[in-house]
Amino acid sequence: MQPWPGEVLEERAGEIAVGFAALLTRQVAWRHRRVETIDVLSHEQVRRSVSVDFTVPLEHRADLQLADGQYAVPLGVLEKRQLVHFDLRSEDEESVPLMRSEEVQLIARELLYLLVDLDVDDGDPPEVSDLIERVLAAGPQDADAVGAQVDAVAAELPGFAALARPLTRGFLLCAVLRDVSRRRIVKFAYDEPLERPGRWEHFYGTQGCTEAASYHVELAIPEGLRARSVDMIDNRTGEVLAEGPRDSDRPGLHYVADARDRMDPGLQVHYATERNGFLLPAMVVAWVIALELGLAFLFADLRGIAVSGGPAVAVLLSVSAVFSSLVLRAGEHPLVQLVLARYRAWLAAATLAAVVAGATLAFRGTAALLDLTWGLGALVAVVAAGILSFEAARAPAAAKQP
Amino acid sequence: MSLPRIFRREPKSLKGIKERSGGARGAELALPALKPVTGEQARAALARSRARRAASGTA
Repeated sequence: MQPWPGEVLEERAGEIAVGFAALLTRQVAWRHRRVETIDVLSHEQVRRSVSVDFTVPLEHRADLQLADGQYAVPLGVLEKRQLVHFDLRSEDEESVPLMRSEEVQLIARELLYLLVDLDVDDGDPPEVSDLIERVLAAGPQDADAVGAQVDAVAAELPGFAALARPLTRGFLLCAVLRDVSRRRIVKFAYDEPLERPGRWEHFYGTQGCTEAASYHVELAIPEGLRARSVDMIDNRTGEVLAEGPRDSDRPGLHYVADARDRMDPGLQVHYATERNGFLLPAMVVAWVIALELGLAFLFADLRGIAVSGGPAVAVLLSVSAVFSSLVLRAGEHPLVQLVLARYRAWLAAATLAAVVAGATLAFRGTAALLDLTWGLGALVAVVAAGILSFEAARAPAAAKQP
Repeated sequence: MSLPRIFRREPKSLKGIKERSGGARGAELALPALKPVTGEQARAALARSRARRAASGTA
């Protein structure tokens, strides 16, 4: 009787752990390149796509064999939490099987025992069976408590503790590949929420920069926005590790960290809106309104115009049309909407001032009311136009490629 | 002559910028640097570990 897949894995877990021990302790020696692309889906969510380019060393290919034409390859460590829209594909865009976390636990258990033995060499290791089970079973709620137990044995079992710590919070991400006899590229992607939705500045963790010989990260910026600056920063020290291009719509950055450095690397991005998309037309409209109201307030006989009525209605309607076309724009990226909200509010204030001024004229308000609405309206419009002019001057203009 | 203190901008440290920005930390965890292990060392350690576990009944 042939063994079932679960039984095969139980039989092979030790040998696969041998292969994993060699591969995970020398990650940059077999992973050539890692490319991450962060696609900003909205002001609340990004999609992270990771491609890993690697060659499994010849001497460990047999270790990783799960069954005929099935090889388990560790691509990284993923947090023990539900991932949205997770996708694992080969270089040909074919779906690649992913080992379930329960299956990977069988290998991780053997791997942890193996590291305990390596730590003590010929001596007798302390009893850690229960601790290993707690590490494997730990979730986000008890990861800190189990991590503290791991820390307690770190002096005696440094290699075990180094791997056990991340395994309290995560599990080994293992692809099952048909062929490891050649250089491969495997891609995985998932959506993740922004922990604190931000308007201008975002920080995207890039822990993977230590896990390959070469690391490249790209940012796909929503249409209408630009990355004013993109820097790789160590959150732990504040050191700028690498600087990306300015005012780019698809900035890329190359950086490789040494796994021995204790750091918390990430991409710090400062967003800005493009000048031509909204700011420039909004600035022009605000100045037109400011001049309309300001010149009329200073030089026109408003009370006399109010008697005729016709032009006032025309002003009212034309301003409303401009208001609708610029403020109520549909189909815009949610982050662009969020970033532009403040400027839209200023344009709306100027437009509203014009509408109120036009209305007092149309309804033949008193001279005092006309002076008040047109004077105040002109002031609001000038302030709005000034702010929009300042922001348009500061905003990135023509497209610059990284 | 320098500007009054109120007009001078203090240099802003980027330390802890993650906590001050919106963003996504990523679902991946970095593995720390582990002491390199050869296949032979790992195989020998596995055999020893299995023997110990068999002897103690924890296998």
